[in-house]
Amino acid sequence: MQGGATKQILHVDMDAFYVSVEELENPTLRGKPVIVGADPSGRGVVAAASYEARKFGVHSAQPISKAKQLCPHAVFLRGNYEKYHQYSEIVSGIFGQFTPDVERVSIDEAYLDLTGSERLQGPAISAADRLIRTVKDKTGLNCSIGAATSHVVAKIASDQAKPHGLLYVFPGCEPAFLAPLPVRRMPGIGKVTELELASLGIWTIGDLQALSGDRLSQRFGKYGEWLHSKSLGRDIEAYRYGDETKSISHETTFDRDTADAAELERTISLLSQRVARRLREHGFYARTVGLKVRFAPFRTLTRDVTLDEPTHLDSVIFQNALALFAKTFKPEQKVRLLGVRASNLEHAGFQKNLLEAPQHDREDRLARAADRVRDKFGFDALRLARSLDPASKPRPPRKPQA
Amino acid sequence: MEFSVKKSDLLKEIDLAQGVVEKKATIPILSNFLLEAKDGHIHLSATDLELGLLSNCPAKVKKEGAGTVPARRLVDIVRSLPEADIKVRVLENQWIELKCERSSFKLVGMARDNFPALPTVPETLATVSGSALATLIKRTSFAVSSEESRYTLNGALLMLKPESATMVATDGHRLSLVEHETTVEELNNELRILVPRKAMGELEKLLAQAGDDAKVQISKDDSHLFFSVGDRVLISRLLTGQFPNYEAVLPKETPRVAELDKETFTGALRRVALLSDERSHAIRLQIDKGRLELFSTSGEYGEANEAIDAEYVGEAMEIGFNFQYVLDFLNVLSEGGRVRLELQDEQSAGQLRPVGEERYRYRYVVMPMRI
Repeated sequence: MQGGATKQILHVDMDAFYVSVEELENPTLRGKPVIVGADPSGRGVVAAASYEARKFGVHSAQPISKAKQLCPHAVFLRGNYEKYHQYSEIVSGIFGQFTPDVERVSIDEAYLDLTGSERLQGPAISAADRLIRTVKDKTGLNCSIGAATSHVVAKIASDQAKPHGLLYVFPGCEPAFLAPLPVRRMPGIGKVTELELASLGIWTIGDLQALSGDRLSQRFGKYGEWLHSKSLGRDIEAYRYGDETKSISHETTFDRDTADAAELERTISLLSQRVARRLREHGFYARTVGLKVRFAPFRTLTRDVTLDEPTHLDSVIFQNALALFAKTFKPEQKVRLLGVRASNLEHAGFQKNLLEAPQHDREDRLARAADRVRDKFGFDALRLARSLDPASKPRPPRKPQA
Repeated sequence: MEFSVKKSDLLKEIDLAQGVVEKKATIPILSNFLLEAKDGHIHLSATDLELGLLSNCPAKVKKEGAGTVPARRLVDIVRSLPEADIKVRVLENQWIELKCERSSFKLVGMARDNFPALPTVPETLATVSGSALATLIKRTSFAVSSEESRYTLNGALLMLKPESATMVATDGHRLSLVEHETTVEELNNELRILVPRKAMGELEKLLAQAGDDAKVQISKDDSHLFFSVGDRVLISRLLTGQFPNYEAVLPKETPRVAELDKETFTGALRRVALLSDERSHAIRLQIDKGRLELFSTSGEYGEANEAIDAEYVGEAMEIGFNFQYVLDFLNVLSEGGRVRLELQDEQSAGQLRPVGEERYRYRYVVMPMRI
């Protein structure tokens, strides 16, 4: 939290975590191709694979049947998740000895913020080295660490350091470190964006760096700004892609691309209701409402508006999403996908509006009553008329859920 | 134009008028004062097109005429001069010469024809006591919204009736309402006007200069408001639009009422606020029989609490407020005395009032924070 001080972030990633735990429990598995995941004769996926199995092209999230084809002689395990959690807790305890600022991203991955703890822990690189050794001593597990001045660079560095390695990116060297890497290495860039970038002749993160932030924003909206900052190795706090839940969104792809304003408005209404319901379900209020529009030739725009008072009301989200839509929509352009997003989530601690209070309190009671009906009869049991298609017949409500 | 004027007479007027001069020099003539010498007086005009001010001061006029002069420079120069007579005269090409004892200045003026014509003051609609209006402004102006997007909240609503003057302002989070029983002269019916924030500020300065017995004459035309205080006239562009229906948000039932010593409450609030969250300014108030406890938490720096005595017999409850909003109210009250904190529940607007102030009925309504 020290203003101005260079950040020191470690990204710690356990090496082949599930498989390594299995090997600890059963040493005869060492050196063999081991695959943890679903029943190999079924339709599930690979949860983790040992480095030996990876040599055959097996990777996590792959259909298990494919893994079986690639590496038929592997040892297939269904996994003992309780055991993994126990180990994960032990490892977390070790993280806690290095800094109180630990952000666990998943069972086998965490960010440690060492900013300002140099006097206590020494330079980040030696703290990281000590951390790897401590984890090994206490648990027998290997981990890899990326150390850098931002979350994004630390994450990419730990990936480069695997297995059982440590990669320290010197402050100031982030752009040079990232430049030669393919764009796909950047967390938050998926297959779709990769293709879109490739069509612009952008293959490496260096290519992204060469583009101005303005050009990227023109093409990708807010996401473009994000891409630009990340390509230079900078974190953007307010707009994280691919990190944990910082937003709630719903989107829908149309069966056929459409420019029918009434249909698009209905869809925005429906998406707004779904987003609002989930906000209420999780006890969140959103300060920012966003709209995502993908036009037929895969051009995607995202637009945000920040509200005066955070909300979880269908009507407020809808009105704002609709206003954003009105600014981007052109009747000659068909829309392929629409998304409504609520971000800048707050659990509590904001100023309520006085003048809108009577209206908002009424709507609040209405929404909560609607939620109770939906809890029993399902989401479609109650809908704002704005989101109903006048041409379609209403469906009979579902029977109450047990 | 040629005249001589006492330094203190001139300084008083130009000092008041400089608040009305345009700060951004987008239209050069608006950074100037217009000076006109006639009938043994200097007549001064200033405007930024939002506001305008007309005033005058006695002078020995040698030659009638007019000229414009850069406002800031004139104020700085006059302020620096010794207490003596200043001789002013227009030279060729709009130059203005100033001489005082052994100092001499030549200022670049602009053609007087470029100075916008200010509207003439129409017939008076109402006359109110200056000190009453000053109190109304002081107690409401802090609650006027400064967000330009909320156009109709950028001013306070002034409602005049033959026997009362009322002013109300809100920024959407809190609302300040003062009703004052006072005789409003020359008014037969009711007059409702929206007074822009900037006009309130300048009017407050004029009233402070004018003293307690001053009267304010109010009038308007299709697009302007006029406030005449003695020889000075403040002109404001009229804010159009509908002020929100404030009566709908005044709390109707406030079953929980705590009475507090104002100074004790203010002190505790100031101390506890030191560790409130820097962004939200949230503090928590817990009331229970006989006491009020204030809490704050800052994620970064720590936490604080303080308990004070309260006259309270209702059920225990907890509510969150932006401390600044509460402090704004306490700061405009006169010293000492007691205040009442009137609450319904933790989600509804709370109300603060000074106790035992007979001349003014003052209600301050604050929306709580969700905590």
